[in-house]
Amino acid sequence: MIVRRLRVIILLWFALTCLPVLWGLPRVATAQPAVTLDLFTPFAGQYVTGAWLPLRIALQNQGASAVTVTVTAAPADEPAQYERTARLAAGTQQTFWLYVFIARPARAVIVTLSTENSVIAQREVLLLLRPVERMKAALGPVPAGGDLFAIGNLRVADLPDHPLGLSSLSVLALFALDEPLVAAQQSALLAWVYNGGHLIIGGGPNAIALQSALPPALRAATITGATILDRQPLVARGGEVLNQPLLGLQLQPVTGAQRSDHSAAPPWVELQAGHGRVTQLAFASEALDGWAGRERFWSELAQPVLLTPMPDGESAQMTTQQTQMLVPVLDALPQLEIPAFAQGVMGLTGYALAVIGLIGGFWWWRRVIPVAVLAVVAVISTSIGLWWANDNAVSAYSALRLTLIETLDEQQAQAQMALVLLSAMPRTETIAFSYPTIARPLVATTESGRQISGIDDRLPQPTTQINVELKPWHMQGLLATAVVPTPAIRAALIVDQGWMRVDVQNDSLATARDVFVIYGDQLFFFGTLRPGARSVGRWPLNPASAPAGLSPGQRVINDLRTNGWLFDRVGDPTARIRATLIDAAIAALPERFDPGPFMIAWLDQDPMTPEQSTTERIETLLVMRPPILGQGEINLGLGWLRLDLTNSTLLPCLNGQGAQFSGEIAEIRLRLPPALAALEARTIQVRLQSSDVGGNLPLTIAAYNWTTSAWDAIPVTVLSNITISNATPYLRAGELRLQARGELARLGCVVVTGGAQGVLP
Amino acid sequence: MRQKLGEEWRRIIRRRRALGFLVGAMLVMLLAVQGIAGLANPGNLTASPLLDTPLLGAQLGRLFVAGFCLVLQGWLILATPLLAMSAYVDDPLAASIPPDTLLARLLAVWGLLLVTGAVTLPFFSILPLFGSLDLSEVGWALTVILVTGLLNGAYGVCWMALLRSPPAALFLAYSVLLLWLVVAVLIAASSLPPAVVVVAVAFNPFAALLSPIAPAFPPTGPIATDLRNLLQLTHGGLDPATPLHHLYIAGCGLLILLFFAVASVAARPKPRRWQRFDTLLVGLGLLYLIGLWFWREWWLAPLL
Repeated sequence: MIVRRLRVIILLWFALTCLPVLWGLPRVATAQPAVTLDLFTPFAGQYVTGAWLPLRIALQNQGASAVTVTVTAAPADEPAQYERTARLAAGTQQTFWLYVFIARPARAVIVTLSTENSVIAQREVLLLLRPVERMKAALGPVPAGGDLFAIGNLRVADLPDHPLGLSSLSVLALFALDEPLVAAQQSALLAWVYNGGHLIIGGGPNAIALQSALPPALRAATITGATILDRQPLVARGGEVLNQPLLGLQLQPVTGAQRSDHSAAPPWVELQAGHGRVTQLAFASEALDGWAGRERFWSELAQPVLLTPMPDGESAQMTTQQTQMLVPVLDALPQLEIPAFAQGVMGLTGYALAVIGLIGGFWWWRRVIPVAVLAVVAVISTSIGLWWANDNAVSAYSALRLTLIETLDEQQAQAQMALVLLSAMPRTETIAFSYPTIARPLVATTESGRQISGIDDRLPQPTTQINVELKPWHMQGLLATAVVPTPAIRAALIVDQGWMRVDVQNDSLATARDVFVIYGDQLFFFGTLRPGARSVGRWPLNPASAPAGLSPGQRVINDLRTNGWLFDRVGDPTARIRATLIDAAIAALPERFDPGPFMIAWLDQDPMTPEQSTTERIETLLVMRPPILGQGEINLGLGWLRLDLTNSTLLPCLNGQGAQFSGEIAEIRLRLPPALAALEARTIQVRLQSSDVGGNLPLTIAAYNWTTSAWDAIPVTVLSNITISNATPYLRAGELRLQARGELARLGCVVVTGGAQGVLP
Repeated sequence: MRQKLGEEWRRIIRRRRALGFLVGAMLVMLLAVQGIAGLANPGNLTASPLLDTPLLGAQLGRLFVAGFCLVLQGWLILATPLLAMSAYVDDPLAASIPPDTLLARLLAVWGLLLVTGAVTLPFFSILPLFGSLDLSEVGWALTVILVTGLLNGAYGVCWMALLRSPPAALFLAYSVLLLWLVVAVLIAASSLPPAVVVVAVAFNPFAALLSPIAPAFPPTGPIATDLRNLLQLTHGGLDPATPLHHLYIAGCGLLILLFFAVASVAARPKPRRWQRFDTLLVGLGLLYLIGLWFWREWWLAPLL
């Protein structure tokens, strides 16, 4: 008997000893798949901090069986990893783009090709930091020598298929295409220009092919024939005489586009598209070969539209600036309610007293502890407690989603979502998106000094789902970008019987709340538009003047408060968040003239988010640029002619409104929105409001006569009401130039605005 | 053995000291729930900067879990040696006890500990209400409490078997325990080599208890300040994310075996001969050591 037991014990011991040994043995290595990796970066590794580096990945499976591989790329010494997974059938190859966000200067990007259990290849892409203003690229032959273009002779296949892939470029010139652009590349170009890119389209023999390859929203002019071009704009920029005649295309600007000069045969036409610009050339780049001013001309023409200062340099894309503007409110996470634990405390008190009574009673009755009864009571009470607690449990995490949707054209819009999560415990959260999205970690320090650390998990591209590991009590951020279908909300400004009519139609499934149409300082409120609703209104002729020093977002919020549409509750940051989001979307940069008009609306359904949680604060702002349509008699009230400080000697006021006057002479440029540039004005009204003195300062005002190229004196009674009759020669291409003489320094900060009456042909 | 275990169990549940142990556990938990509820009353928090904290409920959850665990563990540390020694009261003071009887007595004490744990479980059942606790966190914390109870039971039995005098055993048991807690706190605040500090802090039962729940303590707010002060006392300058409970649980298992082995040798009738019981105990000890060897990465994690 003892021997038998001993055998069993020895056997058991042996088994227990061997099992862990077996677990500890190394696994059998599997055969390495025969997949090759070919890497290409279109800008030769040149990069800009705060922008994305595009990598073209070509994979070839030379093996006999299908294999699933993952390509991972990450800047050296950075935790975030961007990855893309591909299934390769035997003997096939696949090419795709992978985008890597370079947050700070890096030596290289490490690219790894791997299967589920082995690394197949690892490569290093060496990087070269370049200032964004010099990050210019060209498709086709580069027209200028030297270092003007960071990279030239690109082919269509080298062009990324997502706008983020172009985000490091400030200027892109298309001189020749070896094949048509695919839809994704067209979409990428459109979004890149709308975000502040400068697209130059070559003229000459390739012009028609180039134009037809682009989306309609990027066509600045129609080609109507051939002509001898005006050389003056080239000479002005090149600084050298151009003797030979310049043969090129006759360009007819589309609505909103502007000629390079006022001649009938402009050498180029410019179109403001979103925050960026399209420059359509009328001549072939080779036509300038041999001209001494060629280098300087290209250098002057190929300038970035937008350069905004960032912590690590400058950015040529508005999205970077917008993200920075959102930072102050990123910690405004919703405060979850404190759970009603008082009932639980009462229940537990009752339980404790009942158990003490039970034990005491049993002891008094039987002199024994009723263990079985206690166990049953404890199990039942625990079950009830768990059921109640789980049923009334509050969420363990809180999140803020700020989504900005900017329409690019009638079909597509660009959505950017800043997502901040805070969890009280370690947990894995699945973030779902309705559309394929590219995401990056969002790192920031908010106004209150709170740190937002980036989500450093593996970030697949493009994806509709990201699993993130949340660290307790760490705010973690993610910035997601996607191109989404344009919400079916239409808005237009229509010239109608002498007035400007605004027409807004909501054909989407979402309710649009607090709809505003904004132009300059003017706000036009449309209230809430439910699905299927339409609202029409006439633009007010004499809008109330906006308080000085307020941003567009603050003006919108003030307007809502004044009219009783927004109630502030203690500790509720909704108004602050909304004002910041509006400012990020439409606030003009002081040194730029961003005309608008804009339509903004808050959507009650975020198109980027498939399921909306109650523990999340979600704010979704739709921003559109409604077109101005129609023709005929029009009466534009004060506010339509706006101060344009681009290329001006005047400095913007510190509060962002108006210009700072100094010295004895100043030139003031006022401009209509491009869509009204063709206005033939009969009368113009101008109002000058000084922050320092009233309207009685003796000033001499002259207006530039575009026909005679001379300054004509304008009689002025009070500065706040200057009327120019017979105004046709003073307004050209929507631009009015005034000259003020006198003791300008006494004026201080001056807000200049104007209106016009005339005919829109 | 089964018969002896039955006898010991019946004996212990008829003891007044066991009644006091259970009722005392309920009373301290009741006081804990009332005290913490008073601290966490929303009325008291209105004027506090906590309202700037998005997850206030989660902060309260941390306060509740830390409070419940500390109070229960404190009670077990205080009362278990007393309970373990009460098992000897019926025996003549100098009487020898065979190892299997000693084991049955220890198992009966542990059984009552389990019953006490089960009776206090409903208090922990409200913790999911605050939405801030992972099941594994609470699970590890309860494991530490359980292991502490088991260790204290064996510790009390060991002292009693060695001294065979309840007053002397009680005095020495509590003195050594108190001394160890003070030494652990002093070492935590000292500048001794990191490995020494980690081991000393890991074997402070309160530090080991806080170890699974401390990594998710809130960083700001008055509750956070209290919790941070508590961590400062138990952990000193040690990173709260250090998994001290791994080392504690592994070490406590070994200590329980050691205490029981010493007690069984000390309490058995003379002449003390090698028995089959000792073979089984040594076998169990060897198996435990083998297990520790294979899972060394787990319990050595605080030292790595």
